[in-house]
Amino acid sequence: MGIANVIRTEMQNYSDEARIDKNGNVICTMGKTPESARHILIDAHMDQVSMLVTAVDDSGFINISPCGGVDSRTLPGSTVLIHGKEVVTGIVCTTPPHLASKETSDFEKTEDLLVDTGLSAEKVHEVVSVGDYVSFSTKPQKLLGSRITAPALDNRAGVAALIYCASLLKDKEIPARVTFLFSTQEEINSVGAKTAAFALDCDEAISVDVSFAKQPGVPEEKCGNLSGGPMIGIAPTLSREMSCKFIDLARANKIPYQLEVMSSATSTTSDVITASKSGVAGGLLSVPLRNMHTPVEVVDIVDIENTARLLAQYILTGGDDCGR
Amino acid sequence: MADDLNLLQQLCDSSGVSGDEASVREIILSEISPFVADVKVDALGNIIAFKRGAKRAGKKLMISAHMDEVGFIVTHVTDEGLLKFAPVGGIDANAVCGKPVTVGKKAVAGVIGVDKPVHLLKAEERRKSVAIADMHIDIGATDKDQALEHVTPGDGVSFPANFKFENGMVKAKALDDRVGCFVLVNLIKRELPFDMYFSFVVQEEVGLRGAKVAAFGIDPDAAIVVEATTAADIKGTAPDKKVCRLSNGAVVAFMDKHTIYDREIYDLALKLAKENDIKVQVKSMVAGGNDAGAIHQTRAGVRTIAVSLPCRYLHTACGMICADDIWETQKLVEKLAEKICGA
Repeated sequence: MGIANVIRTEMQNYSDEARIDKNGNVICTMGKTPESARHILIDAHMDQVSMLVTAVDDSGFINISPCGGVDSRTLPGSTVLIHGKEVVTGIVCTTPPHLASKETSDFEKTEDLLVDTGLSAEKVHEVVSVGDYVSFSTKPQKLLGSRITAPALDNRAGVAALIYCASLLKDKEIPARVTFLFSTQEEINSVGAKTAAFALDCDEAISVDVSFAKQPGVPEEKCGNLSGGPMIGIAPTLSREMSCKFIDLARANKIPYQLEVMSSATSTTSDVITASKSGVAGGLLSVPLRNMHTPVEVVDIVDIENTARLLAQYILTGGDDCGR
Repeated sequence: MADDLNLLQQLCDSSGVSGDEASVREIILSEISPFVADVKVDALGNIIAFKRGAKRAGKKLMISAHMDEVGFIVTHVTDEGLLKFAPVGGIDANAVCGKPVTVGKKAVAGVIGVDKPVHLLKAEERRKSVAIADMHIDIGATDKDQALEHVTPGDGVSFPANFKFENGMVKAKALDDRVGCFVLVNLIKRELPFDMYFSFVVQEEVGLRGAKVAAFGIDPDAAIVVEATTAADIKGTAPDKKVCRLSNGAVVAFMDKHTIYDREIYDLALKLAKENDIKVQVKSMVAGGNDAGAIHQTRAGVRTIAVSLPCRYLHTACGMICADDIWETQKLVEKLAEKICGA
């Protein structure tokens, strides 16, 4: 089952209306129905970085190209799934050792990477077509404590936070109209969030995404700590009132948090949502994540839970009620 | 046929980085013990087995495969609880980052992270592979103390079990050389025409060390090494650089980087293949090397041949072989063994 249907099925436990729109977005409503109530949009993109089949040669080798900013350094030697007429496993080819150049550590750019399925050329041509999606086959795995690894945690971590938030809101008195948006194509140009924000006409919008967690090689000022709680975004493009309310709520409810200060736009769906129509006040919560855009992304599920708790508190207190 | 490959799956899915072959050794010992007259484990951890055949052999033959696989070893645990590591054997450094791994005897799950997220790289850095020295293994520990409860410097690190058999192809880690071990176990379970020795050796990937002492101990007249060898039959490789091809049968070579093979046995292998309709191919390049390099110069010299299986993506997280090549290799080794022992 595709991710949109997984989400819709899950959200049907909490929402009276869970639908998929023409751009593939999953849209679910909760809370007060009157048109006059404050309308809060909560968004998490549900797409993931992947690859596309660009060519299939006579001998059955498959060329792939990135779809979104895949870390192509991790591709050689990775196993992948080709989503053709059937799902086929393949190995991203590595250069045989006797042919590898000794002088340079450069490897083929992603556009040149090949996938070997081990199938006969005939079978490959029957099952695989140009344009088919290719994803990492790496399986989710529990690490120590509450940390996990999997591909696509960017942004299934955000998706999980939204669903958990919905479960926290169930049967509660919600003083606002709340729309959950699970949007498409963030890794390309956020077209799902852009079109949905236009259609949904909300007063304020909170995007939930992932951001860099501390790991060797990442400057301290550019990351949060794994297991350190949701990263509350502060940026010129975000509503400072909303950021401040998140900080106050986190403190009041003893939810661990950290700040993520950006000097320009946020590189999340918030950038397009806040600029929708005549403007939408925007907030941003991020789950810290290591090894972004690789098959081995790492998050702490407690960070996801705390993100959901903070989000739920925000909604239950009526959103950015100071208004403007 | 999938049923026939159960043991190969068991062998490939177990961890046995060079110097840490115990779990592979256990599997092999329990498989072969009922079928051999004598079996012992030597000081380095090699299995030396003697199998009685229908007749006494004219020449003492040793058939050998190595149990170890390439991987890594934990060298240091950082204050943040991350593991620094070094490669064990000739790992392809381009195919390391972004891979899941299994650490130590407790099989702790971890991942090999990148040095920094792709978003923070300069354009030219995105095309450069990461040096192993700049990588780390993340087991999810929050600090050094927590990490040390689960792992310790010196722990072996292998790629995780990933065996798959589909459309006649086996995709798995450690096919080099569990597939050789698999062929040897299969032979041991058969009725053989002559007495012969089988060795399952350690430390091939760190300098052919197990085979060296095993050959000294057995003191054979001749040896057959059963190995997985690089098949470079992928798109973009010139025909003469492909070395050998999947589905084209067993591989023999007149020479590789370590050994000039015994020409008489080499010719015999080609002749037997022809007579018995066994698929065989000759390496199209002087490339690679295997335990023959140590065995053929043991004591006063041992007449040696390697019968290899073509394997793509050797020394990475997932290799690929063609199942039919296993049976062709097994047939050729069996015929060769009979001829050599009967001489």
